[in-house]
Amino acid sequence: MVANSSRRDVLMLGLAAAGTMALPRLSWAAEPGVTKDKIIIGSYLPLQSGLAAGATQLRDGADAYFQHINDNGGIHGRKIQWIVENDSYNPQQTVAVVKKLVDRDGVFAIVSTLGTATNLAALPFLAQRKVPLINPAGGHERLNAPTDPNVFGLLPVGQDIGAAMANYAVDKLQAKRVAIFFQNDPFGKDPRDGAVETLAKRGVPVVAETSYVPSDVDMSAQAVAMRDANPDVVLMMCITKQGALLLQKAQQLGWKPKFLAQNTMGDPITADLAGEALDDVMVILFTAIETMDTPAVREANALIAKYHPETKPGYWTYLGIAGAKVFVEAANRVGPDLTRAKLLEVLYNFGRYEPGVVPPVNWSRESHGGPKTFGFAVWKGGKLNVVEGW
Amino acid sequence: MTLWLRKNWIPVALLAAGLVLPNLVEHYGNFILASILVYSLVSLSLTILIGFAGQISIGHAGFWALGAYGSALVVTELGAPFLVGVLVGGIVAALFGAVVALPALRVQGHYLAIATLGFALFVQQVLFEWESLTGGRQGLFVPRPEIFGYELTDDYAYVYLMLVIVVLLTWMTENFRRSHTGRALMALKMSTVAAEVAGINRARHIIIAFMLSAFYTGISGALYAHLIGFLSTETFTFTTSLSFLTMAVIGGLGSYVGALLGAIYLTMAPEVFREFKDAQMVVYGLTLILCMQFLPGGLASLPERLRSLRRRRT
Repeated sequence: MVANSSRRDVLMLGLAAAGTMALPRLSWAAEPGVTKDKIIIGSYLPLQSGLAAGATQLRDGADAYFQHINDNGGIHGRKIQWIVENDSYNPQQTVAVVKKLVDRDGVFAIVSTLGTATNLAALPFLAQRKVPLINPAGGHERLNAPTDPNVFGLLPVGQDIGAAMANYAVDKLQAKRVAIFFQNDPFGKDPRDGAVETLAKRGVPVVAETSYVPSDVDMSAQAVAMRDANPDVVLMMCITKQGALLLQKAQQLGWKPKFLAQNTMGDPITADLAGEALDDVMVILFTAIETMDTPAVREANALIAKYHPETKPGYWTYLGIAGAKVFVEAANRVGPDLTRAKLLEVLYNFGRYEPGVVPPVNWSRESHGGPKTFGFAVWKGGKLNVVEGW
Repeated sequence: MTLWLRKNWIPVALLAAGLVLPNLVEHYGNFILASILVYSLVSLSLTILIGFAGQISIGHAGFWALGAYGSALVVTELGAPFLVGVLVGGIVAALFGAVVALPALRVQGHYLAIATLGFALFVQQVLFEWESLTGGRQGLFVPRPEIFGYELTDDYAYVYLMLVIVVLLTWMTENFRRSHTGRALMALKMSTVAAEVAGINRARHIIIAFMLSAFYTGISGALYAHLIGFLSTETFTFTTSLSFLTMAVIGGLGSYVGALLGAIYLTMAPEVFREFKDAQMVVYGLTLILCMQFLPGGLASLPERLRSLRRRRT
């Protein structure tokens, strides 16, 4: 051993190790996480990372809904305790958190989580323990079209989004020549692939494809290249900033095709970024928007205003609520004798269920992933209006 | 025997703790122990590179990634046994270590740091883009470790396997430190000119130091891959490299206990500070600042520091 070490080093090591040692909370309940008056469930969210903003909103949304259920008597008399842990978007920490939640806190299920790599890292352990995982938000087939029997996704597969956009362009916007503008990473490429495949099937040519990376700040080349190809519809698989830049460039060029964009362009901030250039731009929806005038959305907005007034309703909040709603609905259907096996059985026989804040799910034993139907909305004077519900 | 024990009681006590602890904790605890062991190898590798050889690297996430993907691919694509995969992971990283050592022959300090950073970014980008091999944006699922037909589905058994590897590599490191090459490296660190005058070939020794350090980090990456079960290039960022460097500095460069303490800090800090909720990163940052302010020699220097404080008081 190198110099400078002494008995105290070992003492310190012992103390540090003791931290890992604290024995598990012993629970004699028949089912983990279910007591006489409580249902303990958990979540891991990247609350300290680049995804922190979304994670916080998702947390507040789900939390508002759980509080609302608790204030109205809970699920068959049991109050929901939702333990949220930060994993800093680090898979090692996710696995640690998930083992802590399942083994130490003894959670019954995991509901409304966020992060692709982190969710995927948690899958093997959750599958091994048969812990239900509801609404793992991320961009991967194993999350959105899950084959694991314990995973239930609420987000669509990227390819399905692109396919739906292409079909809408052909059927409703009478597209004859389509251009595609996409972010050159999984987020943009998956929907792009879906759109290209669908357009080929429908016999509509893709006359131009342009892309960008998230650090790009000038969309002139993309705008000019697409204009020169003369498309009648432009599909946009992009994030808000570059989408707004492209629309402004198109406006400067006096170029006016029909734009149909991914849901990211439905964020309220898009209006500030793109200004007038946003008028008539269409957006595909797979979570609600604040102005949607349906009972479910009005209720969601009211709950957020009541329990988390600091948070604005939006994509992530609605998604968090959706996961919470699905769990509450399923647990309610199980009845007073709640077990994991029974919850899974209910979810396999869920059939068509409308959370209202996301498109309806239609779950069976074979298929328990995200939606295949979507809504569409259009920007007018800085306001997003629903054209077609799901 | 008693004399031997008195001289070596710390490693003996640590080993005993390592053998007993996995039995006292449940799954979560064993995963934490496994993580500590994984990180302790990176810490050890930086002890060699920075502590012994006086070189810097802020690109160790690159070697870690090479070890992780190297092992994962050899096991999944070629069907190699797990231990062979781990060894391959280490060797692949070591080969790249030799390449990264080349700029170290010409530049020092900040410039070397930037060169290593460039290397790590390059590795991450290539792994991301090389979709057909690494799964790219889809990531890569990695099977659990398997030895002689037994799958270590539980972290409990895996911890013991890692313990063997860590003990073996620590013992190797100690032998290396006392070897001709180890002493030559330390001589170079103290005075390059004096060492070269004494006939020490600087280039050769720097390359060896980088290769050895990269080898350890590669082994660690391989063990990590099979522990987590899923690889995504987002894990191997600049932030990861920096957290490795932080771990080595917080632990205390140049001592094995320091390396272990650094790994414990890196693993335990998020677990302990998670209780602080939104203030987690603030608390983490504060502990780093306080540690550097009052313990510039790292956690390993704490006993020495306390002793000197007590001496001053009396």
